[in-house]
Amino acid sequence: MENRLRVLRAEHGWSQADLAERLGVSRQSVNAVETGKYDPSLPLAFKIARAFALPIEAIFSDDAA
Amino acid sequence: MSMKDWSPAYRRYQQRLIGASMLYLLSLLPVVWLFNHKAPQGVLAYGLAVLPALPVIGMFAAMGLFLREETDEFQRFLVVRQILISTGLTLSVCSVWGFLETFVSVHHFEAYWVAVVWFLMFGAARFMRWGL
Repeated sequence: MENRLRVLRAEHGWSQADLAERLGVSRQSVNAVETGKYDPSLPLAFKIARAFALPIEAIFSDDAA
Repeated sequence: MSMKDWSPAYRRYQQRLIGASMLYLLSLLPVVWLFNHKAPQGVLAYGLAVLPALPVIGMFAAMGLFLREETDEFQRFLVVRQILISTGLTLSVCSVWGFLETFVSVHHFEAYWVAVVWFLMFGAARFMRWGL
């Protein structure tokens, strides 16, 4: 799954640690999602979407789609 | 993950693991001494023999509690993955050893060594991060 986390973080001026704190997860977890090594669950994807005030599909996209 | 990054659930898991390890030593040493010097019999012997296994069960329970208490799903995923790798490796080693014991003359190990092997594999699996 592709994602725009790095770009969105840069736009907001947030580090991985900043985003991790907002999401209540570890920085390692944000890094894993951002680099595409780990696909988040739907609840975490919604949390990420809320943090950026965007719909999920504006952040994540399915490679197969 | 460095110590300062440990989540509250992981800290509790570490504390429980240390507690269980201490209980293991505290139960094992007297039990070994008793069986070597007093030769307990009957139900007491069964009870004493099982005693050191209880903290080991506690270690597995601590792992289960961690998986229930950890709110970071990626950290849970890493530990579940670690458990699956160590379980697969341990069962493989034990299967191979079991057949060697049956068909070739190799040393017989008591079943409690399975838990020791599992924990060794669990530690090693932490560093098997292919694809992550």
